[in-house]
Amino acid sequence: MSAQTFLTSMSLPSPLDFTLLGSFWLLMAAMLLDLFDITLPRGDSVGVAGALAGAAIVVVGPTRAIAIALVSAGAAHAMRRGVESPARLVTVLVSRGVALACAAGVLIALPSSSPRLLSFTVVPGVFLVAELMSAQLIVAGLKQRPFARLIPGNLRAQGPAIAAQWSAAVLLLITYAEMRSWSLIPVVALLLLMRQSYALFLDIRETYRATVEVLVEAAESQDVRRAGHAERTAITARSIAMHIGLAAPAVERISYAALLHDLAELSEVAATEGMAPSRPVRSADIVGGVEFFRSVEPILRVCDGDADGATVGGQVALAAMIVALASDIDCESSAMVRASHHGSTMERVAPWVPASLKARAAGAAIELGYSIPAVS
Amino acid sequence: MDESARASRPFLLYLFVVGGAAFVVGAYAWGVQPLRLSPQFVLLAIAVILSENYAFSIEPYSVSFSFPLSMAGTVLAGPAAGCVIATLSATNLREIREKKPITSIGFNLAQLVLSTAVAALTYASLGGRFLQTADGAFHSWVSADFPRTLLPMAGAAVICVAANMLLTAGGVALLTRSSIRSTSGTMVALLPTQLALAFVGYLIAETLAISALALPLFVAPLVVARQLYMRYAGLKTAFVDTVRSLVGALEAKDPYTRGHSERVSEYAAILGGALGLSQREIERLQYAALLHDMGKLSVSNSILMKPGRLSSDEMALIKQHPGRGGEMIGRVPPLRDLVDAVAQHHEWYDGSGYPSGIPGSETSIAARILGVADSFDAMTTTRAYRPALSRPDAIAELIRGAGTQFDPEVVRVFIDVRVGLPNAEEAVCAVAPRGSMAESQPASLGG
Repeated sequence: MSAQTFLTSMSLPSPLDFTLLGSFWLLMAAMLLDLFDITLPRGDSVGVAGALAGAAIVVVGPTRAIAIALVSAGAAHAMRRGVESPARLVTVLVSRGVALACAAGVLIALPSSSPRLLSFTVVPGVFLVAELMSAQLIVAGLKQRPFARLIPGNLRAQGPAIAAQWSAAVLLLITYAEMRSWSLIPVVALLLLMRQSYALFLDIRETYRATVEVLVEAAESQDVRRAGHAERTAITARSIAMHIGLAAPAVERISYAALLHDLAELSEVAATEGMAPSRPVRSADIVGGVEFFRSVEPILRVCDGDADGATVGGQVALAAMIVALASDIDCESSAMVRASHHGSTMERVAPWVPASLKARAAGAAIELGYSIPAVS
Repeated sequence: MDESARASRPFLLYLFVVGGAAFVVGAYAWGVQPLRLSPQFVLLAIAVILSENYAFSIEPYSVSFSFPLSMAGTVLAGPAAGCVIATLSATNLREIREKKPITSIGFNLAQLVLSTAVAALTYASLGGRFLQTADGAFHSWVSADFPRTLLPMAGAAVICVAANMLLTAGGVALLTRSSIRSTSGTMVALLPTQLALAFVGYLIAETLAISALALPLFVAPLVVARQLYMRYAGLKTAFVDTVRSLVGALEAKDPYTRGHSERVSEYAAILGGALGLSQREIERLQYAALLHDMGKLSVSNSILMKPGRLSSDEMALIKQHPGRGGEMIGRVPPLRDLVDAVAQHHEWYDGSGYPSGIPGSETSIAARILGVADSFDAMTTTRAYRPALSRPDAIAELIRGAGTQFDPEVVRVFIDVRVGLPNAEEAVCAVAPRGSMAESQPASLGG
């Protein structure tokens, strides 16, 4: 039977390969990819094993696919102990199990006269989308975040990665029909290539973030009263932004803005005889020349109380409000920080933020259990 | 390879040799299995042209998908197809628009064709089967082809990657007049990725042999991988700018040291290059230089800017800054390799420095380079406790400190390369002839 005839043949849902050896190699490949899952200290994680799990349903059938996916996740977790939290394992196992059940249901529900290509394309797609949705549902449940608001942002952010994994799954299924388990070698190479690109990107992003944090912390350490203020503000701002349901890039911008909102103050020049201070007077000016902070600069400008009313959009205003609220929450929590801080950030931000956005940010902070200062 | 420098005579000779070899080996490979046009081949050709015009650079090399596509062409339709795909990959409109030198374009073409032809011959000689047969039909690999096809697959991939890297490293070294070691460092780091890309090429060939309609399935994975790589490359470039900007802003609290770290970074990079460090080592050295005084950010302004003599307690606080800086950097895992350079930049060559009092033989070369660069900048800028020294005087201090405070080899190279020092030679002649660098006067507390 030629390959194209095979793809359009009418035989569903018999597995492509029900041999134990085929299942064994699929398990090994899935374990390898699970082992190379990327987990970052801040909780971000990226994996590419979903492509294999989605394809496994068609290759070895639903029962074995579920066993392979769960065993590989558990074994990889055991080997990476100390790197990832048990909560992450539970999230992976539950979301993968739910997704496999959904995909298996779709496979069984497909009419028996469907061409094989239909199962090759639909089943992995259902698995990958169901896995994302169930993982988000778990996270939303655990961290009390609004699921409905998280999904659009995450679908946008994860869309290309899901499309890439879906493509890899379909490629595996197409070539598996000819090469059997040997097709795992080039497909795993393709997935590892994607994984490597993710690893490089996430690694440099983490380095970036950690370096900025350490620099700010070093500058703060000159005044013991305010030590840790920027980091605490960033953590609070991040959780408020996530609770509101903002997309990941917006959360990152807000987090950086919170970290840097006192930069001008930290770089303040003590009056020195004979040396005219030439430092920029605003945090926004300091980061203004840095390409990476281009999207953070407008937020800092509002936090500096130096914004141009005509150019402050809703997103910038909300971001600045979240930063200001987080900064003032930290000041309220400690008299020492309050004494060393250059007044209320919220007072500077308030004129630029509409009442509806103030209420949105303050509401999220209250829901998270923060004791917030009066918001005018 | 993307060099705009004028080609030197050795490079032109190298180009001639590589071009000649590409022609001879390519012609021989063509004879093994001539090109047979097919829809699959046309699709590959279109894909490689699109890919090349959207290639992105990781300085100084360009990364594109022409390599897996050339490998796909080779195993799909034979050596001639692989060589044509490789040739098409050199037809990069962006490079032509940017008026890239014809010698560079010619070299890229020659080395790509040569690497692909050698890989194709390796594949065939190890018993690999081309998927297009003499009658023009395609027969995809089946499970019976394995595992014996793995050897030619792996052999062709390794040979192609190795030939490509060696030829390119040689060309870059000749064009930039740098050592082949420093130019090959970046390439070796890309080796695993290149090998994975070769197997992606085999997957492309197999998919095309099964159904040409499946080729678009590669778009999403490869575009995602490339987009992430581009964002990585962008962030990597921006990282230095960001650190420079933040360190500069925070340094500004002490007007006497404004711009110090950036200048030290510039001196260190030039010194690192002259001492034969690899490109990656120089990059890490620059990061260390930018962050070397991080520990000082936590020292009170009143001490940093005190015009008179420091008390012993104040001096003790100042002397903690290398260690504190090292600790802070150690908390950023990807920067941990910089800890020694930062923590040791005030150690003396004879072991009488601070904070640990270890001798030069136990400190890193990066720390010894930073020690010289840092002290030179400190001496040539005004501080609260003294005016700036002239550059010849600062050079004289470095020479006096060579062998005691400073690594004499680093001082010698510093003077040789005359880092931004128009009068350095006069200073050296006036103060001491080369070889007499063993005075025991301390030069400076450094930056």
